[in-house]
Amino acid sequence: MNREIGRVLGTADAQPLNFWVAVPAGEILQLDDIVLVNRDLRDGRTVSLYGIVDILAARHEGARLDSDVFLGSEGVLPLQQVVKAHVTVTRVEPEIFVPPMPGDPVLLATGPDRDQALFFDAMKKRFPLGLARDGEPVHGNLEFLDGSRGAHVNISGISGVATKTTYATFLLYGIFNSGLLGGEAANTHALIFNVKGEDLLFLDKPNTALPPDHHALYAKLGLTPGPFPDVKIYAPVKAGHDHMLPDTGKRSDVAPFAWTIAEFCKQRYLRYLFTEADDESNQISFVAERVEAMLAQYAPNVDTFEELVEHIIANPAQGYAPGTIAAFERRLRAAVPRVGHLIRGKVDDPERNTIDWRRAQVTVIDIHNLHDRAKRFVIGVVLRRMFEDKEKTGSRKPLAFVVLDELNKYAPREGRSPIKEVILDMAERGRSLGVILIGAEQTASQIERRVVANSSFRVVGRLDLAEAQNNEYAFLPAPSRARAGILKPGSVIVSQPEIPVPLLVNFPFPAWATRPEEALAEKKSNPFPRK
Amino acid sequence: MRLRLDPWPAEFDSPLAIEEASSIPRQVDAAVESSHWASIPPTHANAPCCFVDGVRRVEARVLAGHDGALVHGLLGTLAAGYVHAHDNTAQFGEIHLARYLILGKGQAQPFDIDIGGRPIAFHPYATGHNSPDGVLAELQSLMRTAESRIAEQLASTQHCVFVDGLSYRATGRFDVIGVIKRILEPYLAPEQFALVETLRKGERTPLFRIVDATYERYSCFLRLADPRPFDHPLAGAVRIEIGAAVGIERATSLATLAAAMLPRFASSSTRDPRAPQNLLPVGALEQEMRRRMGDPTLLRRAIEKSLARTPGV
Repeated sequence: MNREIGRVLGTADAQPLNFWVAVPAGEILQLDDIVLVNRDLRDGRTVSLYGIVDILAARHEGARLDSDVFLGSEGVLPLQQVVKAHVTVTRVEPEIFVPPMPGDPVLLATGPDRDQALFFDAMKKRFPLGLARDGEPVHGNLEFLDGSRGAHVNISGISGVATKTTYATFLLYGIFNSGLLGGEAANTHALIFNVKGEDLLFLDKPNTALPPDHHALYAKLGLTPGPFPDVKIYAPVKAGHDHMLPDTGKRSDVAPFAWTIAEFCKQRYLRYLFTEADDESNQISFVAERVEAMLAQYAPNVDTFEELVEHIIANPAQGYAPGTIAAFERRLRAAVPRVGHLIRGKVDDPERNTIDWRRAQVTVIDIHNLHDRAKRFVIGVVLRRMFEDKEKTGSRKPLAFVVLDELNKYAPREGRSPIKEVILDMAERGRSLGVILIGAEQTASQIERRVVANSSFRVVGRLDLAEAQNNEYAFLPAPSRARAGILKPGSVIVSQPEIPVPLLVNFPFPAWATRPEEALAEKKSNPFPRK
Repeated sequence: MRLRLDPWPAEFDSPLAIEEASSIPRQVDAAVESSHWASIPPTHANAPCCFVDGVRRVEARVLAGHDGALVHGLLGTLAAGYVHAHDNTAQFGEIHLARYLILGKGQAQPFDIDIGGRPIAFHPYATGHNSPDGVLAELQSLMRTAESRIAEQLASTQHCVFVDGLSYRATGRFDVIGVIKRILEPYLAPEQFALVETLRKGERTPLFRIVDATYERYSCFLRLADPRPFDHPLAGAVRIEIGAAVGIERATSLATLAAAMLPRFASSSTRDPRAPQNLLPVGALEQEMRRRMGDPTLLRRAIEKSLARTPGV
């Protein structure tokens, strides 16, 4: 039942899309509460204005001087407390844009009215975004994620609070396990790059640190907490070993990956070794393309990447200034110790050592141990392969999700690079191909604009307050920007196309391990017990 | 001759309005409390107390013809209420609001206006005084009555009720303290009145009895706040009155209580131009009552609209 929590006040303009509410001293209204005002029109129709509280202010009425508060607390001057709340309208039903009238009662919207206010009633397929401050679920419209009306998610937030990738995996978990994919769930895939630490290498292990009370939060979202059921993890091969061993830390049961020199030449992967932002500004990229073409025509019979490099240098591309050739060679040589071990004459087991994102529901590619240059190479190659695979199927569904953190490195605002091309392609055409990018970065202001602009869902974790002032966050009203500076881990602000106001949501603690310690089969006793 | 400042702004009547002509000799007994005429030092007290006040406003003056004669009248609003100060809180009590159409020559008729779809009624009230000042005095007296009704009710439950101005006289209850902001006449002989100038904050003169055929009362001067060096020495002094029927003992304890309590409620000149005499709760109450009376422009418009609709010549 909707309860009256105040009345539209008349000391400030009440407008069709935003108005102020006076709240009696005894009532509690908090930020993010959903409210409803019904206005009866003369012709018998009733307009319902739904909105969300985004500013709250309390004042002393009757006080004129700042020091009057002391007189009030001494019991000398009578003062009255009043709270006013600003409401931003999210929905007007029917669409008759009239202001609410001062004096109209304001109701706290619950149940179906809350769903109406947040457009949940109109979402045919919805996936969980988290829980609102009132503990009720917040849904996202799948149509804006699966490509039918929009696609992609972009997550910004400072690093170190483990919010971005955790939220990305939470979104995936919700999409995969809420049953909304139906029969397609088994064929829907996700490709996750583990770029930092070993956070994402334990998705298939239950999280021993999951607080028991968070089971209820999952239940509220229609989910059963647990690890990702079908995960395949790849790690780069160790350098300096003939035998292929995965180069990992705490997780050993993973498949090592590498590419054969034959594939490298045939598929024209050379360009992904030249991905520095300035590489495209000079002639080097042209040299690389020329060499690529040569290699594609005739792959030399060599056993190591080093030999391949020597072969390329021995047969220089013609028609370029000696300086350009020298720069190209210098960079190519520099790639040997960084990337060389990933490109080999042969691999032990092509089935096992080749990344195939369709082999499991979730594929995690660990690149955190690699040098930056090698990271770019792996991401560029894998994404291109995936994109091409998807293009070949010619159908949007089943969907393929890509989770990529540190997007600022791979799709920076300035400059061009082959990886940026792939990511941009994904952002712009991925929607029709069913490739959904869940990208994350510390600062959206450093990302290629079109990547961000093509994301239907914009998620903001804790932000540096100076960063929050950038234009990229214009979708956040001023109060939300201020709140982005104090968000706790486990809270994000989500903006989606249908809801005109970004919503603050909490998401439950991950039910899958996000650190080696959380993946322990049994809880170890505390080695540092307190006396 | 050294000049001193009268601290109230010039748009208000002076708080020190002692005119030589009005200094008619009063019959005053200055020895009712003490045979020794000297200031009584401040004491400490923090008892629950109430401040009663009223405000009035003329919304519009009206005129009518009756039997070939001019009838004066006014549409007025009055409010009366109180502030209850206790346990370090000060709260507004119920505020009484009334609107009247007061007409001279004993005429009475109702008058209604409409604001925002809600009817507002002015109650008919007839008076024999047929002049602009006469009908205004009637409004003032209606306000005094409303104030004294509230003071009377409070006095039955509260033992410390301050009433602004002279309204307490109409209450019939005597354990009500009237606070008179402006000093209009000295009452005392000059050599006794000189003591008022020397009072320090919280000090008071001994009680004196004002012998008056209509209303016997005790009174004393007390100092709310020390004047600045360039203020007139009487600045910040007020006079209180207590009905003589309570007896000298009760009157003495009420006067002592008032001297202890009132300086705490004195306003400062940053907040109120009529500081310190316009007490903080009273100032706030007046502001609140004016707010409850409604917007004067809106009322004036509604009155004009209503008059325009009235048929007849």
